[in-house]
Amino acid sequence: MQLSRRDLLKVGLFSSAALMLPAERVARTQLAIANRMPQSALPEPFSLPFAKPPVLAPFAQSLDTDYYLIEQRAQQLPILGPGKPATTIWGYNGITPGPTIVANRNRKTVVRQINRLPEQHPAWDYPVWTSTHLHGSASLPEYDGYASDITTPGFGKDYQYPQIQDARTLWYHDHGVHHTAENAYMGLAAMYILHDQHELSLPIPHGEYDVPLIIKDAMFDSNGELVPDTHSDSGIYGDVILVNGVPWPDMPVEPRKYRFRVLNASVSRSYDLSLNTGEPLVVIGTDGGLMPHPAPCAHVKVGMAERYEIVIDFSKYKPGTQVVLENISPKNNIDYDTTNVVMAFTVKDHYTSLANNEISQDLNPNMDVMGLTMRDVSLDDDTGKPIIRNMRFERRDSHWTVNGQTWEDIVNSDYNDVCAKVKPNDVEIWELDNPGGGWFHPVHIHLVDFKILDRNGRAPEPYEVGPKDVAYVGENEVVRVIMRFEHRQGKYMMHCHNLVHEDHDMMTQFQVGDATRDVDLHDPIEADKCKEVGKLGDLYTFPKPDNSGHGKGGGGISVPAAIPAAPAAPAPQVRVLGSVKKSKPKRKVKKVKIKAKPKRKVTAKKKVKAKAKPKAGARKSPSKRALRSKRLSGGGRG
Amino acid sequence: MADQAVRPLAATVARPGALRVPGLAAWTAAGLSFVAAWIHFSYTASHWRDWWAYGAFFLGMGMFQALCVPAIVRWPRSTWVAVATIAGNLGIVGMYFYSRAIYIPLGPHTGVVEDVGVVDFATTAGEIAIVAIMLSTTGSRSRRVIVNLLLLIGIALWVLRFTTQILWG
Repeated sequence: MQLSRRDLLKVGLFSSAALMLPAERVARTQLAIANRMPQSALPEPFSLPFAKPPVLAPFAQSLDTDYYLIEQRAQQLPILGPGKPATTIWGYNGITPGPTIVANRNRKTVVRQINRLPEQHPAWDYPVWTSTHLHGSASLPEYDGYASDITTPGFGKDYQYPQIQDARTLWYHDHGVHHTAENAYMGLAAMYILHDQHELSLPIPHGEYDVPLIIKDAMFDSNGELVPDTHSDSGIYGDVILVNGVPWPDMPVEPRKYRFRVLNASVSRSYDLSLNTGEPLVVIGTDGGLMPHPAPCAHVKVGMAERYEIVIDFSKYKPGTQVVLENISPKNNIDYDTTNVVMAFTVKDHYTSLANNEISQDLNPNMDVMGLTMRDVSLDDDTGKPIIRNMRFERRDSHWTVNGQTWEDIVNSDYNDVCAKVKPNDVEIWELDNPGGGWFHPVHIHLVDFKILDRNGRAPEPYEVGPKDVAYVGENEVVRVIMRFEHRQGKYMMHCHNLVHEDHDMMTQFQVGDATRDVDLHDPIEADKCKEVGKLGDLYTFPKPDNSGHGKGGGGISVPAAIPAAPAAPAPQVRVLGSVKKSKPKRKVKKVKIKAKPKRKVTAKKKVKAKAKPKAGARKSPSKRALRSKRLSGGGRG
Repeated sequence: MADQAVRPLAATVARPGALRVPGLAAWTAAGLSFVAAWIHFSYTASHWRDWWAYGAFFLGMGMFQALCVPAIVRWPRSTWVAVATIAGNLGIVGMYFYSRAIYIPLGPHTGVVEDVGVVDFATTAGEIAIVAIMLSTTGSRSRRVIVNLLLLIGIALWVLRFTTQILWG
């Protein structure tokens, strides 16, 4: 050997960089989940009873509008079941999933969202703000949950929803810029069901046989708290599958048909659902409502934020049969031994009703979007050719981008940059392009319903031949969608619904119409800012009682019999989760840093920026860089 | 006298084709190269399924490391063999680093940051060991150049790590 000690040291320095830097990422992941609750301590699959989220009663009702009041707040819930440690969640009215809102077409709703969350996440150390998006609604831009239209703790906002679309399964969830993933993972998500006359007239299952299945994965530490690990900004993956907030529940079902509204509310996990019996899942509805015709499918792949209405016929099974909803995990998820099953159905020996026990062959044949073809596509003014735009979702320079842009670029342009400027009522084709092989992107286009034309030139999957607002863009896939930009004008977002991708920073915006910010009456940030709770005013002013004999409320205005004195008392949470645990054991808050990734050196300028407290509804929301600096400047608390 | 005794020996060592009995270090390097080649061959098929070029790259790495084995044994003190072995293995280590700390630069998995597993970590450690061993068989001038180059790369990587976000870690 002729290597001197000095040579060895030099080679050693090189070796340390070559080996340790790549391994650091893995080590961080292992550290983040080191305190994970062991599988043996988790509840047994199918041991906990199924539960539905409660339906939210309106705070008030006028002739054409329902008013709802929701508080976003922290709560400790026995999610893992009796005898297990409670979990701190953030929920709409303190439950997760939040209460379901049931609405009817052409009857408006106003939902007051009040942020009662802490100023700073107690464990993950980030400044808290929210923005509430009603996913699937053609809302005005200022009520669409624009990411940078934030509401900080102590503030609130009245969101107005028009209900001008067909019956469908919507959901409301957090959309706060750069923290959507954490907020949604903490629990800020809930279902919102819109009915219309046509849908209600069909003999498909309704009422108690129309059941929401909000599927989400989570990971818990040994204290029962949620474990956040973004896998270096790739995604958050849990080892526990929750259905309506219950781990792997068992649902007793009557021997008849049920209609399940499946919503994938996971942050990053997609599912490929099937029944262990091999019987088909009959898909009757997609994101934007009923499909033209039902589609029996052996399996249904559900990306994040996608909704499918699925009918399962349990009359085929003997009483006592346990039918398991399984998950054949699509690729590029992080799987655990426990993520291959979702829930079970145990067939009862009797039914109480066989009404609405059919699957109509014609469900919604007149839906406009499903009739769109190439002939409908608007022509470009300059070229005279059909308008086809390419939207490329890719990772570039450690950022998730859309056509090379990040949301931070949009912020830096003072929200003027758009990926497309569309004329009102134009029909366009967008090619959603994922050139990466290591991940999939469920792409959500706000405002519109679209029809999937093809996937890499092949026909879409049978279960997605319905109106959609999220397209599962798989690895190395180009999905072409066609849509009409109707109902509204203004700026709307488009983003990947892997919420970690969205936060870092795979989100852009398009504009319908050509209003500039200074004259835009529906500027998503300026048009209707959040207000301090004390300055919000009355959500609804109840008319003074008169002696005209017009009945309650007078003037056709009705007040629900039970107006909640305080929004969402904790009682339903306990009932919903099937637990008897009511006490909240005090616990020492464990500080887990969601991203241990050390950042670039913080300059003094950035520190100053980071220290500035974000103002609610500020025109310019804090940039991602500022947020990182903020974390750094408070790093000692991580 | 001492100088005169050394010079002919050095000349002999540097002469291509000079037969030498390989020592423990050469056998170790050859053995490590054999194992690394075998690992790369065994992963060729799975990478080929992802993209033919990934598979071809693994095949190429395996073939190179397999050819190093007889070369090291046959010419254990050849500077050319040493430099070629060092350069090839550093290239492989560089690709490992790039794909794990930044992302895969080409093909359908462009942008994917590969996970670090036990096998690839151990293989890379072995390749660095091969480099270190082969350095000991090079001439002092070559060795000095290569070692200082490695030092600079090492310093640069650590500086990048703490000053930028280029590295995923």
